[in-house]
Formats: sequence, C-alpha cells, structure tokens
Amino acid sequence: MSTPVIAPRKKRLSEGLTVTQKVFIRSRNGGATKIIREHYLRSDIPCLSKSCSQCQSIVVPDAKNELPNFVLSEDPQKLASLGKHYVVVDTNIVLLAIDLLENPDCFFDVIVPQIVLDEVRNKSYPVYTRLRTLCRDSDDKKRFIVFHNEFNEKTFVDRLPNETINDRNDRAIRKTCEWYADHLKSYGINIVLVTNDRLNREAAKKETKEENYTTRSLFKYADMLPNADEIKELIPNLDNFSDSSDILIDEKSDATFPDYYSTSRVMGGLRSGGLYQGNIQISEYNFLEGTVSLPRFSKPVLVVGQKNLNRAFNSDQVVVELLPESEWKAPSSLTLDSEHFDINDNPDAQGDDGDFTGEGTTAVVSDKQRRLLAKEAILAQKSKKIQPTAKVVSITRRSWRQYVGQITPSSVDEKINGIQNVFVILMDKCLPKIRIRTRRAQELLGKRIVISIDSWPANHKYPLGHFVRDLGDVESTEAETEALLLEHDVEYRPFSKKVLECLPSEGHDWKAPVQLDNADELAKDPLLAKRRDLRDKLICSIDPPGCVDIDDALHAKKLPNGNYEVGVHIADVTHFVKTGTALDGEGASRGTSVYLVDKRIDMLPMLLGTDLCSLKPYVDRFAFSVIWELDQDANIVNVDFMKSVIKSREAFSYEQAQLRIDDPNQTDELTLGMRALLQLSIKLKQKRLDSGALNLASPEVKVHMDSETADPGEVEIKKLLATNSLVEEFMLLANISVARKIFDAFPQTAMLRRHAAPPSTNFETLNEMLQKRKNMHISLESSKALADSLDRCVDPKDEYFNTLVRIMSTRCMMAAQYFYSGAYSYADFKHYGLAVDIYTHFTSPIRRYCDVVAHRQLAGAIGYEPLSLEHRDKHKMDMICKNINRKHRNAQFAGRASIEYYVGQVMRNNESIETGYVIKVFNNGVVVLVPKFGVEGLIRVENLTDDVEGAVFDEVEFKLTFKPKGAAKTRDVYVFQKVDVQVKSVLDPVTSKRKAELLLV
Amino acid sequence: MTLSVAEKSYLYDSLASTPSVRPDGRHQHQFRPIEIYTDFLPSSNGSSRIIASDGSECIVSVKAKVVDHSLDSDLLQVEIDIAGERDDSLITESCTSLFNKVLRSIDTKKLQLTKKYSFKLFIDVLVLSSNSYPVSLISFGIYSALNSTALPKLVSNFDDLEVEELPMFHDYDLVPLEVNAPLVFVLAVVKNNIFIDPAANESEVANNGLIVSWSDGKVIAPIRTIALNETNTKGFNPQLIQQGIKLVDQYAEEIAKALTNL
Repeated sequence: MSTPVIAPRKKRLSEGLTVTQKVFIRSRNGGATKIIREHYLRSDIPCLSKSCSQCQSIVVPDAKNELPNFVLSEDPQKLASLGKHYVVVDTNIVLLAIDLLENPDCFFDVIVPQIVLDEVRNKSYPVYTRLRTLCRDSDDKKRFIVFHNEFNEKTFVDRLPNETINDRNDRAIRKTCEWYADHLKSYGINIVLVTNDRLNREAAKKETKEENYTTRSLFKYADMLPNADEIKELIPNLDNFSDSSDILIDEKSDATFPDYYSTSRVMGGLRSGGLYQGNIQISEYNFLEGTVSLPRFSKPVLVVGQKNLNRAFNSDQVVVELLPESEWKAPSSLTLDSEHFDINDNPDAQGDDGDFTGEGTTAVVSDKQRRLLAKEAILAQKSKKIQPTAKVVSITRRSWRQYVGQITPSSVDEKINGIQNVFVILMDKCLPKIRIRTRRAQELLGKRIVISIDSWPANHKYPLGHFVRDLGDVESTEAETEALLLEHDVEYRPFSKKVLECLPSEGHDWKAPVQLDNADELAKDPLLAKRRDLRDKLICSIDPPGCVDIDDALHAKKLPNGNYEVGVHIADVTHFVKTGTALDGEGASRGTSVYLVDKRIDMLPMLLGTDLCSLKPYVDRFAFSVIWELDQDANIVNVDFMKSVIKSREAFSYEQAQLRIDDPNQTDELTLGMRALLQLSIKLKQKRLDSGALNLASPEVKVHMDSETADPGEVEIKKLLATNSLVEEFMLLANISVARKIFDAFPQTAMLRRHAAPPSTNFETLNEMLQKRKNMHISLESSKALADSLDRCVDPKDEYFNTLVRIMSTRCMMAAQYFYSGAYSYADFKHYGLAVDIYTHFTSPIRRYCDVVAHRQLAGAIGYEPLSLEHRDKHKMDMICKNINRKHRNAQFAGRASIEYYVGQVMRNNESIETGYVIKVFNNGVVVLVPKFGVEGLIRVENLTDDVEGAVFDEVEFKLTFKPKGAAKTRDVYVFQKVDVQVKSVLDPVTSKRKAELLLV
Repeated sequence: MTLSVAEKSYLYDSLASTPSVRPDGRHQHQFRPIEIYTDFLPSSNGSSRIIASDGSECIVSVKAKVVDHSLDSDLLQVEIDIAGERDDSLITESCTSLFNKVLRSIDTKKLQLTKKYSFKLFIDVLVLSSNSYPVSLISFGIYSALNSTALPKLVSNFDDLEVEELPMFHDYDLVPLEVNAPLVFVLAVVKNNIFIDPAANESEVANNGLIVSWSDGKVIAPIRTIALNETNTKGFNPQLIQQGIKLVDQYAEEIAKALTNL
C-alpha cells in the first residue's frame, strides 16, 4: 500500500499568483531525501498565437522590459483530415525525431510544453540544446514555441496517488492540449498531439469527452503530410511503433543479449568494489574485443566477444564485472571487422540463431568472491600472459552521435521496391553495422549516408538506426571530405551572422594607427597607449610556401654588449576576439583550425585569419611580442613581453629563407639577423636534446595536388630544412617563457600543456619484439634514457629501421594535453617529449584556441588589460581544456584521414611494388607499413597462402609461418622484417571503401 | 504554580478522601482534553503537534535515514528539547533516557529495508511549554507522529546480502509505517489513592508519582516512580503500583484507539 507524499496545498498569494508545493523523494547514495519545493502558478502566460486576441492583453514585460513575441501563425498548415492545426509534441517524439523536427519541410507551428523540455533535458542534453536553439531561432518558417504549462494556473496538474511521474507528465501534456484546443477553438485552429505512446493516445480519448483535440502517432502524422513519402523515410527506426502495424514485423523476443543490471545493483556494486566503471575502447583490429582502463588495475581489462560487450559502442562509459578465472584469456591475435563478419546476415531477422542465448542461470556470485577475484586479476595482470576478462553489465553513458556509412549491397533485396531493412556499415571500423529501414535502399546504394542510431534492444543482434541524409557518391571528393569532417566532429558550416557581426566594421580596410599617440585613435582605443611601437625592428616571417595565416614573425639584432636581442612576434588575435562575444564562443567551440589535404576549416573567420591578424609583410599589424636578450650560448639574460605594432619586412618560405641565409652575397641587416637566429636556434636545439628531448617520428607524407584539376598527383614524404627548426626552436622558447609568466601570474588557472611520461606497460610489447628479434631495448627511466636508447636502435644494414622504431614508439607515448595549472601539481606539468618543466601554446592564436587564452592571460599578467573571469575560473577553464583537447585530437585524426583518402586516390593510378616493414603479426595476418606512402595495411592469411589452416603463428617469436601461394617451401615472416609488397588500391566490394591493399611479393 | 498552605491542604484532603475528588471533577482514569494535529511538517516523514488544555504544547518530528543495520543497530533515536530547560538539565535528560528505553519495545523488523539496510528513525521532540510533568504529552506526540509516518518506498531488491545493491526509492510514493508505538502514562499518588494525568495543582500536593509504560495491549518496562514536587514527596504503599498498572491496563487500549483514529 502506498500513499502520496502529502496532500498538495494551494495558497493564493495575490491576483494571478498562487503557490503550491512540489514534493518528491530523491534517492542518492542509497539514502532517501524528501524534497519540498515551492511552486508558483501564474495567470499571465500567453498562448503565443498571433490569432489570439485575449492573450495580448494579459502579457506582462519580462525582466528586460520586453514583451513576449507571438510566434505561432494565424494561418498554420492545413491538412485535409486535421484542418488548420498546431502540433504539440511529447518527450519521446523530441528524443527520437529531433532531426525530423529540425527538417525545414515538415513540423510548422509546434508547441513544446515546458514539461517536455524538462524531460528532454534530463534524458539527453545535446537534444535539449538543439530543441532550445530550434525554439529560440525559429524563424517565420518553423515557428516553434515553449509553453510554460507547469507555471500556468490553468494547465498545472497535481500528481495523483499511485501515479508514476511519467503518467503525470503525460497528463500534463494532455491538459495543455486540452487548454490550447479550448483556447483557440473560436479561431478555427485545431491541436494535434503527436505521440508514439499508445496509452497516452487512449487516455486522451477517454479524458476529453467531446474530443476537442486529436492525437496521432508520428508515423500517422507524417503519413498525412503532403510530402509524406520523403518524411516517412526519415522516421526513426523503432520497433515499438506500437500500433503502426503496417510497418511492423512480428515481434520475436529471443533474448539475445543479457539484460543490463538494475541501477541499484550497479551503484551498490560500484560502491562495494564488485563492479567497475570506465570507458570502453574497442580494438581497431577486432571489433569484438574491447578494453576498459580501470584505476585499480595496472593494465586495461579485456572484454571479449559479442555477449560480453553487450551492445557497448566504442568510447561508451560502461560498468563491467570480472568474469570467473576460467574465462580469462590472452588478447586475441585475430583480426575481425564488422564488414567481413557475418556478411550473410539477413537484416530482416530480428534475433539471431541464438548463439549466445544458452547462458542459463549461473549461480549467484557474492561480493566477497568478487573481491577475491579482483585480487587474483591484479596479480594475473602483473605476471601472466593470460589476462582477466570482464563483461559489460550496464552502460552509463552512450557515445552515440550521427555516423557516416554506406549500405551494404548484399543486404539490399533488389526485388523489393518498398520499405526494407538494410545494413549500414559505418566508416568507423570499431562499430558494428546498423540496421535501418528505408524505401530508397537501391537509390542510396553506393552513396555515403549519414545515419543516426535510435536504440539497441536486447533482442536485436544489431542496433537500429534511421537514415538522416545523403552526402553524395562514395569516392566523390565532396562526399568523402564531408564524411570525414562529420566523422571527426569538425564544425565546418560557415560562420553565423552573429559571429561575423563581431568583426571590425572596416573589414579589409582596417589599418593599424600610424601614430600610437594620436588623440583620435586613443579615444577609440585607450589601450593603444600601452602598445609599443616596434615598426623599426627588422622583422620577417618564415612559413611553409603558400601560407596565408601568418601567426608568427621573428627578428634578431646584435647588441653592443655582444648579446643578441631576439624577438618573437605573434599575431594579436585577442585584440579582435574579446571574451564573451559570439566570435569568441565560436572560436572556443571549434578549438582549432583543421587542415585537410585540399581544404582548411578555420577556427576564426577568414578576415581575421588571413588578413587583419595575419602578420603580412609590408603592412602595419598588431602583435604580441616576446623579446629576449640572449647571450652567445643562447641563455636567456632577460625577457620582456609587450603588445606591439610591427611591420614585417618580408614573408619567406622555408626554402627562400634557407637560400637567403646560405647566399654569401647577402649582407644586409635582415639577413644578418636571420643568420644569428639560425645560429642561436642550433644552440637551443642542442641544449634541448642534451636535456632529453625526444626526436620521434611519424610517417608523414604530403600529397601534391594538380593545380588545375585538384586531382591528387603524387605523394611525397615531408622534408625538413634547417629553417624549419629555426622557427620551431624560437616558438618553443616563446611558449616556455610565456608559460612561466602566466603560471606566475595565475597559479591556479594558467592555460598550460603537459605531456606525461609513458607508463612502462605501453612499451612492453614493443620491447619484447625488439628483444626477441633485434636484441635491443628501449629504456624508460627518463626521457633522456629513452632518447639515448632510441639512438642506439640502429640496424647497420637498414637505415630506415631507426625511423621505424621511432614511429612505433611514438604510438606507445601518451598524448600531450592542455590543462589549467590548478588541475595538477607542479611536478606533473612536465612536458616529457620536449623535456621542459612547463609549457604552453602561445604562438598560433589564429589556429588554436589555447593560444588565444594564453594571450589573454599574458595580457593580464603584464597589466595590459584585466583578465576576464572566464579565464580565472577553474571550472570554466576545465570546460575549455576538455573541449580543446578533444577538438585537437579530432582535428589530427581528420587531417590524417584526409591524407589517407588522397593517398588511396593517388595509388589508384600507380600500382607498384614497394618496400614495407612488418610491424605487427597476428594469428590470421600481418600488418605492413609502407614508408613511401605512409600507409599501413593488414595482409590477411587468405591472401598469403592457399593453405590457411597450415599457417602457424608463433606468439613468442612474433613469427607467422605459411606456404606462399604456388610455392613449395614455407616462408617465415617476422616482425620488423623488411618485405617487398605490391601496393594497389582496391575498392572493397562489401563496404565500397577504397583502401590500399598490400600483397606480399 | 504556587499554592498557599491552605489551598494545598484542601487539595490534599479532597484527593486523599475516598472516593477522591479531583479539583476539576475528573474521574480517576480521566484525561484532560487534548488537541492533536498530525503531518503538519511537509519535509519530515511524520509529525504531530499536541496541545493540552492547560496550555502545554509539544511538537514531534520523525525523520528517516538509511543505515547499514549491521553497523548501527540502534534504529530509533529520540532527542527531547524542553523550552526553558538546559539540554543537560535533569528533566530533559531523564525524559530522553526514558523514551529511548521505552521505544525499544518497537519491533525494528518493520524498519528493515533489505537484508543489509534499514531505516533509522530520528524522533525530535520539542516541548514548547509545559505546565505539568510533560512525559505523557510527549508520549502521545510520539505515538501520533509515528502513526502518521510514511517512509520512502523501496523499488530495488530486498536481497542484497550476496550481491551488494544500493537501495533505490520510488520518487513519489510512500509506505505508511506500521508500528506499535508505546504510550507512557503519569500517575499521581496521594495517600492511598492513585489517578492518571495529574494537573499542575494535583502534582503539587502528590505524595509520589508513577510512570507506567504500555505497548500493544500490556504494561511493559520501564515502570518508575518520580517525585512530582519537592515538598510533599513520601513513600507509598507498594500495592498502589499494582493498582496503577491495573488502571493503565484497563484504559490504555481505549486511549491508544482514540489516538490511532485521528
């Protein structure tokens, strides 16, 4: 038996204002708290319909003294069966079909009850922000409003005894519909409640005797629209379309996946230590194997197999439970991807042949046993090859977003012309295929499409999704570029009007003031007085050829005392990008510019990046300057920071600068300065290497584009000139100096960058391989030791071997990250790769947001202008750091993916035999890296030999023995072996992905 | 209350006579009228406010917290605060210890949530004003507060011994607490007479006082004597204890019923 918390009391405070109480129980950490909130009801909330004449008289101005804007049209969409109508949506519709609500071709004049907005916020914050944006920016076309039904006297409903909160909220929505219908009846406007909840629709029929409003399921509503066919296509794929039997196949409830644990069990388990929470990383070689890093274990715990992964997606936050010792195993040396797995599965089948249904009821394992198991597991990780494994028992947070993929041709039945189920293979190899329903399967074949995932019920082998939009043909440059931008979550839409409004009104005509003490100019910008005039310095910039966003410029001058004055001048972006503006918000959310082979996605609008901020030669530009006095040995004698105005004398490319320095005929002051810079930079570099800075490598290549057709021409490995490292050394020096200064001024919130030392476990496999095959070793005691041991890894017969080891060790390193100084102790600020104790990014504010923050903090530190609260608040700095870390990583991945795509395109025309190196050996294949193209690929056993069964994998020796096709003798392939491979570009028939295929010669 | 010698002597004589005559004309077993309001504090799990006809007033609040009952077996805790008395004054302390003892008769099984967790009830009593010995007023307050108590409803599993679960509760519904709360009666002894619920003037002349606890149809421990005044207290015939117990036995049931049917 249960009773409601308390009988609600209502008290009238004044005309139009009533107070009532909201009571609920909050469970937290196993406790129960009774919470009472006062809830005020008003009578002056308008319906916001332009046709309504009563509400205009009741509205009152808000805090900003503005009257609400009446949005809903007096002449809304008219449908044959519904007449003129407004639409009310419920929470599930918003959550499922936000894409559809945003669609410009359907859903006009939509009323979003406040309770729906609240529920959406609790369920999914991203959807909530999208809905909010939709309501806020709803132009004359879409017309979305939020109706505050919870605060309206007439639409507020109390919770009844034994009523679930969902039922109560549904009732509140129905009450809102009823009120609206009543309210607008005389204006001839009907109300349609769109809900997929059958019970809700039935209740609506029961409650309203005269049926003053109508209810429809999403499908039925879409069906009535004039453009029904298109719209229906976009409806999310959900089998609980309850009564829309027309599209439903028989429900077959084979419990395929184990159910998730209840929240209380998960919470209890996490507290008592029987369960663990972490982010799951799916192996890129095997999509049925994942690892979860847990603080209690020294190594990530393995999660192997479909049943144990239990519907987890890559990077979901999951809760895992250890499996009994008998099920622990070594990480699989098998590679598997979703595209080649179960190709013949039928997308119409719901469950599967039940390969993991027979789990049966296992005996209850007590928490005590679990703790013992965990102890065993930790021991096992330290000693044995066998790794503890775990299973996913709950998913705390899904990482679902929109994905790009393409329909698998084999899943399309060409005979069906109507709606059918098809599989979509995603571009991300770590994810399973998605089942979608579409009518346009044949049309979409061979296209890159965007899909969105709706759900993954336990009785489905594959997650259910729906089609969102079509990007274009597979392998067309536009589709591929957009696909990779979407896949890496890069914002590539043009800057909004609000952002562009923040730019200086002069546009390209903006000029730095000629006289810094001019009274007129000072009146416009009082900070000008604090700017130093450095236009007399002989400054030049050195960048890659064709660079238009010039962040940095340099100068050097010999001082009378024999020391050098060296200046690094960085574009003064923060002069134009002030905190709190829309421009700043956009920059902060983009975080970084993204460089693709043929395209650049800017962090800041072009006007700033390539003109006003860019330190172009021959014109006056604002800069933020760091000026050192360095002695002959490049030790810092003195450092000074200032906002300045400069005039660059020349913009060099690396080659031009090199030529100028090397040309003995050039003896002008600018060249002398550059030579001094070069000398100093060599000394700086030596000092850095002496203190243990690492020289790592990645197989970087550059794709040359044909300038006319924009077709990729050839691939080239990037070359490095002395002038590259000239610029680099001084940028490092500037970054370090600035880091010290801002940490000194803002010890808690300085924007810094750190690089943690790699844990020794990362190097275990590499070291084992080196030990076994080459009798070499990488030591990890310090970065110095690591650098030295890398230098020792030389194979006299193969000069590339050292680079190969460097490439492989780079992959074992931790990623550098941005952080605010309050987040770590000083000892952890260390940048391992550069071997400095403190570091930040200061020198590229046009393309990195970190630098923008560093600029502001430095300006605050030197008393140029006060630092805004935004960058003095730990919490806000934390948000900024998290975002730019993520964006930075994504930008790198996007850049690499773009190169990979173009390399594939290049190889399409030139098939060749190249030298490659074996870098990994699996049970069923080897991974080979081809340095010339910077590509690596898996060569499967099937392609190596006819006798697949006869191939022997030696785990200890990292060796695969097999009988090559058409040969009599067996061949051994070891890791690190130099092999000749045939490189060709092939289109995978299953996934229609083009990739480099390698074949051993 | 200060009475003159003559008044005291008159009162004493009339109370000591057979049959005794109480100044307000009550029977031996009769209570003064009381007013009770329950569940008036929205943020506690149960509450009551009780006002006696002489202006004594007391409010009681019951709050619940989830505890691991293997670590904390004391599931009921009473705190009493009497306006005008210090926390460590004799009367406050004796009342607190009395009620903590009396409430042990409550079956704590009713508070068990799961095999591991139970509710612990914190009963806070505030005596706003008291003109006579407040024990019986407090007891009625606690009784009705406990009867109006509703606890959050568990929605997770009961069995959490082997596999730990954190209790989770329904966000709105509550379950009424069904316990047999004890009642405590104050009786005054005047010569060979004994009667229930002495008023201030009766206490002033009583030879002794008796506290009798009762729960679920029978008199229970503790039973105590108590000095109701500082001048008149004497020993009394032990048979009076039996009489007092009989009196309580006879009428407590009806009083409990009256309080339950609020």
